[in-house]
Amino acid sequence: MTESNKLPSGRSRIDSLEMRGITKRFPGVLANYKVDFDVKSGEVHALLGVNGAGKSTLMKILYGLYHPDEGEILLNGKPVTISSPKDSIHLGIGMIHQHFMLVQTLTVAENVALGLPSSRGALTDLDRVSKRILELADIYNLKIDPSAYIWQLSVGQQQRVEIIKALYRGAALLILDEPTAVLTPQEVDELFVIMRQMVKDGHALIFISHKLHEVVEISHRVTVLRDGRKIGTRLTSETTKQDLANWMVGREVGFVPDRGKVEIGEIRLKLERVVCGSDRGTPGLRGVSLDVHSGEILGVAGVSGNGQRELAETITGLRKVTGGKVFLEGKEITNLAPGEITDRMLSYIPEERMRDGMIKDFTVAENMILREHHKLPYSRYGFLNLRGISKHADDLIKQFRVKTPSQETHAKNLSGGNIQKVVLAREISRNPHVIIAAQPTRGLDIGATEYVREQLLVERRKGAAIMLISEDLDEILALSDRIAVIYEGQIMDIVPRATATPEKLGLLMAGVHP
Amino acid sequence: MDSTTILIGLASVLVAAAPVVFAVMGETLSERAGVINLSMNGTILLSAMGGFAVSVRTGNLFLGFLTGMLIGAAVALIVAFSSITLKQSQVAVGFVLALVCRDLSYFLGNPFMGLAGPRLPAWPLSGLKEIPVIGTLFFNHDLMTYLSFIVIFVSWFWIFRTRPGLMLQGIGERPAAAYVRGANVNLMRYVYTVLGGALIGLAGPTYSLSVKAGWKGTISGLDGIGWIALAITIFGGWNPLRAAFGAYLFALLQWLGLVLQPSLPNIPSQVLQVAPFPLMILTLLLVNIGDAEWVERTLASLPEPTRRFFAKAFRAMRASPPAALGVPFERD
Ligand SMILES: Nc1ncnc2c1ncn2[C@@H]1O[C@H](COP(=O)(O)OP(=O)(O)OP(=O)(O)O)[C@@H](O)[C@H]1O
Ligand SMILES: [Mg+2]
Repeated sequence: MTESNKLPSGRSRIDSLEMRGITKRFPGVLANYKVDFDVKSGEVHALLGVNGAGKSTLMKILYGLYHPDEGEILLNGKPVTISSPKDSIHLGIGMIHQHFMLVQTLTVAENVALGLPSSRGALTDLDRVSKRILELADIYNLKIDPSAYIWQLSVGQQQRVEIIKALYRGAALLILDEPTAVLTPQEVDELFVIMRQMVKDGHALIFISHKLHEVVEISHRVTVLRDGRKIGTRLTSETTKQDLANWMVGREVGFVPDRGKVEIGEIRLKLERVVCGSDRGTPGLRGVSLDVHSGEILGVAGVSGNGQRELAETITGLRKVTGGKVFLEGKEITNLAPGEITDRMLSYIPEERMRDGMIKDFTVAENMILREHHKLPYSRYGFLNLRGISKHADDLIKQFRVKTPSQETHAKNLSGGNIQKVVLAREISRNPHVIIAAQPTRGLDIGATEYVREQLLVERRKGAAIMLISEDLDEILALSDRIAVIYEGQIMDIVPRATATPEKLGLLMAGVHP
Repeated sequence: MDSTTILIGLASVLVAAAPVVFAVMGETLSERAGVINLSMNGTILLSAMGGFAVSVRTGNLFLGFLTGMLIGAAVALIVAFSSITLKQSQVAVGFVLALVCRDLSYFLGNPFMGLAGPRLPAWPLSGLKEIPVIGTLFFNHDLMTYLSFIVIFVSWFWIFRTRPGLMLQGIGERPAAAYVRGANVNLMRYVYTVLGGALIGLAGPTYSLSVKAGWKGTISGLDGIGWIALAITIFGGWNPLRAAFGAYLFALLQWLGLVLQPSLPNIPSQVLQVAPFPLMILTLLLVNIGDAEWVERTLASLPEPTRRFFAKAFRAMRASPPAALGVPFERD
């Protein structure tokens, strides 16, 4: 083997990888049907499709997490069997999962070292691992603290850990399943710099994203899946965003949110100099004062980890307020139990929906009544009313186009985007007076994103007070009436949408007063 | 009481704690991997009886200890098979085994009741035992006591300092994450459950061949130890060092019950014998009290330095179980 066959990590390249005729069935679902897919050294191959199209399933088959019912995989032209991640790791395949595969109680360094050989044999060599992590972080310009525990990190930071882990392992073929869903635009740019470098070095990359401009920017080829079938593969240079969107959904899409004019009403949610801690022991919120009015969407913009999570959690009663007060429709709710607060018709779409928003082992229908299970029509005299529950679930599945074999399917078996839809449907459909929405369209395909944004505007028209916490400036600018910028636990400024520009917000998000 | 009596008393606490240490370390390893071995109470009794019986018949101490470990491993294998492979409730299976093993030990142990059997000889470590205080405390015991010290250290070192130990933490906390990193989660769970079971099984003969030598059926005084060991595992926050501390605390309470008896003639001796059990439970409650709403509220009303001290102490004591404890792992 010649030197040029080697990657910088010392591993051999994967010149080509081909999946042929892959079929995978789950009870009631045909997740993949006769799919052909291939990727070469030195390219980014994007995989597109709406929520539930079968992208993650195809990639999990490649990584050895699922076994295909039919089909074969060829590596450099030779058939290989991949029956577990052990095999794929051995072949040089790495994967960044849509749902992070991190151990919350371990540190960053421990998570990276987990499962890797060590320079000290059976002993862990965490010092060396930490040093190497810092080196990599330096090269690729990723901020990371190797000694931090995962549970202390924001989702964006956790994503960085996944990327560092993949870089550290130096896989020759890397699957990135929606890596950008939780990143800020700057972080996406940084990731793309890394990906370009990896491609230049001869890695093969598979990239999944619902954001078409990203696909257009980074990929060389695009393959579109629909209902588990491959629709086709094209060179990215020969397509446009609009083409891809239509191709993927099978109809024309194009979203211009109709905000309409809404009378701003009374103050529904009020924060007075709220102070709280964060998981890292540093002050999370440092005196935040905000009002959200009926009929208004207040956008909260900021770089991940600046107090957004704490803000949502103090309002919803999940985190102790150590100073200041929170009022809901004029009544103080500071430090009430979360259940009491939701009962006052406050809806919460948490950022980490898999963890905080649902119960994986409950069925779709059960997840849809988590908030209201103790009320009519879902229960009466302490007994559940199964017919009421089932009808409610059917309605929501239709309205929100949740792709699921049935309402009895366990939530954990839905595709990533469809899990999100279950939570969104539940929270939005209960006619809330106040909605706290954290990253509500993260992980949704373009059609579903359109729908959720529309729904938020509908609720606004109905008079709900909505706090939209998002790292996506386009989303903030498209939906908000006013925009608050949060930085290091403080509100830098609140600007009306009319005078807000991405540049101005960007500066505020960096802690600079323009 | 003069200081030598106290010193010798404390040394005897270390000896008496040895079987509890084995059991707690075994359970800690098993639970770290995600499997609750609830059979512990029965396992200890059965292995105590079995180890004693084999030693009596063969006159060989080593075979006695080996028998205990094999019994523990075998019972653990049943727990592992039913929970990992058959995905049955670990609690139900473990509980039934706890009862069955206990009754089995009384039934099968009948012929050996009250027989004189071999006893593990003391093995002072010359050279070390002469060190003042330390020598008496640590180096004037039998093999099993030394082994208990080693097991504590090795368990701790294994979990927190080695690669497989790191993986063990991953397997109990987030099996899916361990799996995507190439670990064979279910195989590892088998290994740790059976290994932990063998350690639990070692506790039995350590009683019947050393600490409480002999087999006296229902009055052997071993019934209940397994449940306390289970509580100590939780108290220990699945950390071998903390768990060892719990085991020693329990032995210390038992010892205090004995030495205080003469000076407290009004209290029936049974009370002092049983007292360590509720006291241990109380300690457990105290350890986790920091989470309670009313404690938090009381804390908040204290002056700042005091509040911070207690908050810190409670946080240090708090430990949460491995997140995947008791949850079967499914890869598909
Ligand atoms: N373990 C499973 N058991 C049963 N059904 C499953 C399982 N995993 C996936 N599915 C089903 O297979 C289909 C494809 O899911 P997949 O996760 O591949 O979608 P996806 O394209 O990744 O979607 P998203 O963009 O929402 O992540 C979905 O209908 C889903 O419900
Ligand atoms: Mg997916």
